[in-house]
Amino acid sequence: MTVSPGLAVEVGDIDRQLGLLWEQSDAGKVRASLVNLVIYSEAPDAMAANTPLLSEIAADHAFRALLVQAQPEAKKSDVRAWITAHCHLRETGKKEICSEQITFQLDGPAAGRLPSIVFSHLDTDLPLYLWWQGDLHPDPDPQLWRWVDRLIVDSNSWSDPAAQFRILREIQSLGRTRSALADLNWTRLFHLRYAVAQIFDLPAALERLDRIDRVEIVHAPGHRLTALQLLGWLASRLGWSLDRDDHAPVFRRPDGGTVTFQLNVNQDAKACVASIDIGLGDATASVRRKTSGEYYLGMFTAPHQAPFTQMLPAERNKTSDILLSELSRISRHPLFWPAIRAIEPLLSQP
Amino acid sequence: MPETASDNPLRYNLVNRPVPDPCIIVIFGATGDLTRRKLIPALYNLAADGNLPSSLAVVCFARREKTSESFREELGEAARKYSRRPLNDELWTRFAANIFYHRSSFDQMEGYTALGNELNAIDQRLGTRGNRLYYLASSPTEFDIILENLSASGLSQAKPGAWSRLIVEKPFGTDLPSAHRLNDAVAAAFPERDTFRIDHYLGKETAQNIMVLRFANTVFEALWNRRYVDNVQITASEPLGVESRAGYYENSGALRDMVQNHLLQLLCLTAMEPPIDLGADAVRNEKVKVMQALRPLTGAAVAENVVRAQYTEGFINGHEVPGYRHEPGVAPESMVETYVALRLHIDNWRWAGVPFFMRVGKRLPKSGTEIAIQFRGTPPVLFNRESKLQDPNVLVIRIQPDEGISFRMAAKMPGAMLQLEPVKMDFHYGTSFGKATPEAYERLLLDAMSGDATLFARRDEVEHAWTFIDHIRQAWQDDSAPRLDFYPAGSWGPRQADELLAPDHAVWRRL
Repeated sequence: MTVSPGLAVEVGDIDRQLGLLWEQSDAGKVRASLVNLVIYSEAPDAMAANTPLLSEIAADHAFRALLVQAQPEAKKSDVRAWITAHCHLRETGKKEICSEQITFQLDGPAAGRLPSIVFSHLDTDLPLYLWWQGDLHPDPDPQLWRWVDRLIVDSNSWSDPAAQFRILREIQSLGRTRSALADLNWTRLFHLRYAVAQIFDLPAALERLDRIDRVEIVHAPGHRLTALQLLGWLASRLGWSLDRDDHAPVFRRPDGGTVTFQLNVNQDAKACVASIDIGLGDATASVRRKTSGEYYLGMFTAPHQAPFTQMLPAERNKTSDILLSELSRISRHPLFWPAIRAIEPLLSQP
Repeated sequence: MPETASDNPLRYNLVNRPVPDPCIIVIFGATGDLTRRKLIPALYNLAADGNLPSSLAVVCFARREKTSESFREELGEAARKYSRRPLNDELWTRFAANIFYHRSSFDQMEGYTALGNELNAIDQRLGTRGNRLYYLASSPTEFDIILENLSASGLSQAKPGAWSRLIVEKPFGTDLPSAHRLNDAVAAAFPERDTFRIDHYLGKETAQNIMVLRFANTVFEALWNRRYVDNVQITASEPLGVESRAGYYENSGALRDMVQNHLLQLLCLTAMEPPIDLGADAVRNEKVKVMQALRPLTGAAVAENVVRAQYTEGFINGHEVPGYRHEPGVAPESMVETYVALRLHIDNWRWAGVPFFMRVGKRLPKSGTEIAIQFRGTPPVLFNRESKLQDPNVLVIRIQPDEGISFRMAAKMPGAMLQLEPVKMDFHYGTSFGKATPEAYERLLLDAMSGDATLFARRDEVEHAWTFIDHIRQAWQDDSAPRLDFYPAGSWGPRQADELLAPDHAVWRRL
């Protein structure tokens, strides 16, 4: 299926063409925007992959999107642009809500002019969210990063997570104090972390929290880093430190006890993390993704205690849903870096 | 050793609100419409969003002969119909498994003793930790006996380390003496800090947004006073007639049904000073100060400042509708008001001299609740030299439907002529935030479970409101009181309501 990025326009004529687009649209449409969402990708199918995704997001979160597909290796320097709008009727009888998308193809040396392209086409006063797809470039350009309000990455797509996290730290040090970081891989874990936390609201589970001795996480192929971040969250919240026991990595609890862990791949897993089982001596806590997909089932069993179960919402697997969840968030992720630090030595292991 | 959800280190930074404790909700009068249409769908949606505590049970206390199984089925059908999100069968089954029907008459002490035993057994089985949230959803005439029996049976007493709270549905009395009696009955059973009086208007997102608009934005609060505001108009209009509520409405009327609670609450949020923090008492203290500064309307002042009217036959959306006196269940000579318009004054430093106009009515052309802040006009110089017809700036907060905020200002029409036209900057919740707005009851139930009373009315707020309303009602009973006016269904109310604004050179907004 071909996905059109819209009407081809001259780069210097984008504002005028956008104005014409709205003048010619019918009265039943209204332009809206809450954020400037810039997507940068060097994937050859970036336009085709991201245009439908932006259309889905526009149904829930109005934006001005700047989709930049770059080919830095191209020999000829070239800049091309297209404009389009994604309109959705949210309520019968109301106007359609439209979000603008400006698409750029940057080839060769022109790919290095990203800040110039971005800053010329932002919606004034609205925050700038930059979703950098794929590997980050070393030696980040302060001219760009200083103005980004929220940098969005997906660590699951990185070729070398250890090196990429180092670049990410460097970028963060360039940002203004208001800039925030969002790793979609961390966002993916929100509902799962919530479900795990909910189990430990039970007094019988909470009193055993400092006695965790085993963690087993089952994840889908290609989601080891997601599982590691979940493990890192537990470790950082509970004060565990990484150690080795008989040459195998383990965590040490603050009381000196040992927490063993296993990350297992399930080829058939429908979700990035299918389950987590937590051993607490004589008790077990677990969260499993229901086969129906929309919910987790949290469980807790302990001696002399009726088994506890509770269904809790699960994140959807679609990238648009994960991104929407991040776009609706205004807060930062203060637990992200502590979680990464807790599992950093494990990043480079296969 | 940690014992409560707030001690759970895994909870940190997951949600930006207090986590509700495990508890049992006991609904008195559970076979009524409120449970079916609002409470159970709200609780189900909280479950679907993962916002319920780890353990929650609902005990439905009512007189009719039913079993837990049959009642769950009834509630399932209702939830399927009224829930804002589609029902997930498995989630519903798990949620409904913890709904229990307790059959008893409200006046039988044995029923409360048995209830206590049942609640203790549920605590043991589900880990609800002795926390109780009693919800009075019955007819107000039953409140006294329920409260008396809750107290006599010891159920209103919190167990050690647990809490016991009460939610009261409006109306909180029918006048000041009855409100006093009800509040005394409540106070005999529950301390004020554990009493949650629901006014669902306060659970609406836009009502909550009034404080955000005022106190999280520099620009508005600077203008929010007598120097810049000409008048404030609060409107609640609906095209519906009395529908099936004639029995209630004949004893209530628009003044007691809407003004005493919803509209005075909106007035307080609009006029209050900034609270010292966002805690329940700080916010409610400021609202009470507005009520204290509200100039009482007594005797002749009522005739000058209040218009009451009743709808006659007319047309709504092109359909002929009967007059109020021809509605089923309404007395043919009924003198009950279906429309009230008031001119109010708040005698404090901020608002002295600024009229607050309020109107509420049934069978008006359009449904809408809004607060309009009308600013003073510009001086008669420059663009305003020749004509004073230029529309003043108006900031409108739309509470429902189409929740949002708009601001009207003047702009030059393009062209060689100097002609000014009003233009509107408009913010729609639905346009900017695509995600579905939770129902007011979801927020309010969650707050009550978490012990946050900010969005609930306090005893003194309710009693101040009744004092104000009672003065008007007393004046209406006087022989010299102005007669009841009439307006055709589908109009914007009686002519007398327009005249009410004339001395202030103001006109009602057309919604």
